[in-house]
Amino acid sequence: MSVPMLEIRGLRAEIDGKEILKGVDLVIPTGEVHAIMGPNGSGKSTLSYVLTGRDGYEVTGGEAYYKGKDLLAMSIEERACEGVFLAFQYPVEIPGVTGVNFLKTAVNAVRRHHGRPELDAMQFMKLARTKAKELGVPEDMLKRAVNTGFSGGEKKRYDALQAALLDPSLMILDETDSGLDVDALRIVAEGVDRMRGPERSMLVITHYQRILDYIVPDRVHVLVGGRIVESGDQTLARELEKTGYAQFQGKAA
Amino acid sequence: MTDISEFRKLGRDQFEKAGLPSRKLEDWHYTDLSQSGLTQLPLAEEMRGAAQAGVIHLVNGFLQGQPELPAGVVLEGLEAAAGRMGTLLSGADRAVTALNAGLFNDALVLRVSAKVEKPVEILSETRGDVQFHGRLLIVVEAGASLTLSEIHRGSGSALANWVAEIFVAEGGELHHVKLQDEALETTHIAALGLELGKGAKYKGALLHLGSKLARQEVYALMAGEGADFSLDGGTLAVGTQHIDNTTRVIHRAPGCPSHQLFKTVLDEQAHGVFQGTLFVERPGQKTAAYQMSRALMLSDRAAMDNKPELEIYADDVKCGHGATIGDIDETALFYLKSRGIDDSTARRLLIEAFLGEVAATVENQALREGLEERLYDKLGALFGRKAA
Repeated sequence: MSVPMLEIRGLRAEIDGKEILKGVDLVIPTGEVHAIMGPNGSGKSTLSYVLTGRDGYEVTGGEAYYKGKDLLAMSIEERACEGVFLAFQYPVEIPGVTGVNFLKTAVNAVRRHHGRPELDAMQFMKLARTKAKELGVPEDMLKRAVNTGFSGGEKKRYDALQAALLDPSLMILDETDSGLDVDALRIVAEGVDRMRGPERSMLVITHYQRILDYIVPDRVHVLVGGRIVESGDQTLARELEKTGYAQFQGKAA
Repeated sequence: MTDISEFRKLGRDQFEKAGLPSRKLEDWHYTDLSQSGLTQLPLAEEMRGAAQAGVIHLVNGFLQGQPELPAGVVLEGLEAAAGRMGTLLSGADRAVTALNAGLFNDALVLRVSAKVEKPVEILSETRGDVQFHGRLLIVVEAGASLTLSEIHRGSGSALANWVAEIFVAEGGELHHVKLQDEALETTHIAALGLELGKGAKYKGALLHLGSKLARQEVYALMAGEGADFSLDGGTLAVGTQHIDNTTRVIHRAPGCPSHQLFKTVLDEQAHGVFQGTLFVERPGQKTAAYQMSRALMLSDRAAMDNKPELEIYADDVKCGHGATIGDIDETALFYLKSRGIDDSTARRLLIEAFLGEVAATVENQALREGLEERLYDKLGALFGRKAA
């Protein structure tokens, strides 16, 4: 069997001394889309931040391997350069940094990491325009300051544009449906779904089932109390929509 | 003031009595010059050279050649300024201004009588271990407008002591960009006095990159109804640089908006100071005044002193002020790094953005880009040094 895209074993993590993840086990094979569903406070966002290396989240036990490499030993930017991408629940506004400057710096950092030549301003703009057009991102968003004054839908599309430019192998979507109305959700989710491919895996973290109508997962896991308490196929997501998470609360104890 | 020699003598007498300011003076609490020995430096000797194309070139305050000026701007003699000089910035309560009055060489006196498109650019060069006292007086006549750029740079353990008085008459406009880019041995002390007539407008951008010690005082008098004052200041200080911005905006007339935003980035053992007073006199009804100082600390050995003050004697005004001191936003830093950007580059981008907003207020494209370029150069040098 080939090396999975992501393999997590017994992962434990805490914030400010409070244990949030209490032994997470999860394997995502290459090319598959897995969903993690769970109630508020179950550790969903913590899992996404631990996998991407955010400061303040302390790993106290367990392991995580990305393409067979020790993910937890890498810096934030190394993980990104290696192909791990986090789509933020709330993308960050950065006044004063233009999109072009930010995106070009990021694209070239990843290219440099892989020993590929950097793009000059012209080459970058050509690439950015092409990708922006594919995703329906207006070109003027490239010139504006990063996420500044963008609507919820614009921010998520802008994150999707970043993914398209950085071409990651593992995409982690942290409650991408937050702050989106039904139409915006459909546009963003369809954009993400088009990025599915045999060489790319996705981890879709969500509270609600609706985003999974557009990004239909291969596997669904239920995270409650910092542990995965149930796994199944996409029918599990529909079931959860009807029954809620209460039935699992007992299992987490 | 009618006689220039009397004006100089008064200045010398005033300074002799007061001496260089020490922290005992409330206004100078964070910047002490009393032990600096700056007045022991030899006075700069007269230096004359050819004019440089496109700029008003000053060396140690001495004008070089006859500069070319756009139509609508004339260079006047000292006599023409006699009635106004010292009226906005008096040596009576400002020792350093008195010292300047006593010892200034040339005074650059400009009169603007039309809407002038082309910017007037002053390049002031500091040379040698000397003291010099430069003087600027500008009159923007009613309905006229000017874009003025000042760049201060050079070399030497010098004292560059500038006094600028600017009068903008009814409906006039001044766009002002000042880049303080002196050598790291130089002490730069500057006072800007500003009088705005009815409906007059001043829009300034001030960037401090250089100097061992720099202090910029701004005294803005809103003298006519509806006058509009706006100043954005930026400071990037490293090593043991000490940069002080002290402002006093006086709302004497009704219905005047004023805006001040000062941004300071301090690394290593640099020291920043912002003292700002908003003073609304009794007739200053419907004043809308805003003042903010924001500092970003990159090192725990750096220090920032913020002293915002409000003094209000009118009862129908809107005044807002505040001061913040903080670290780089961790969330923004994580966002950038999560896209593959290394820590040092991510920090640099965020600092560029923080101070770049000051440059972004400059409407003239060439001046704006010039300011950005110097800012990015200095940041590049700082981060290059850190990486080494």
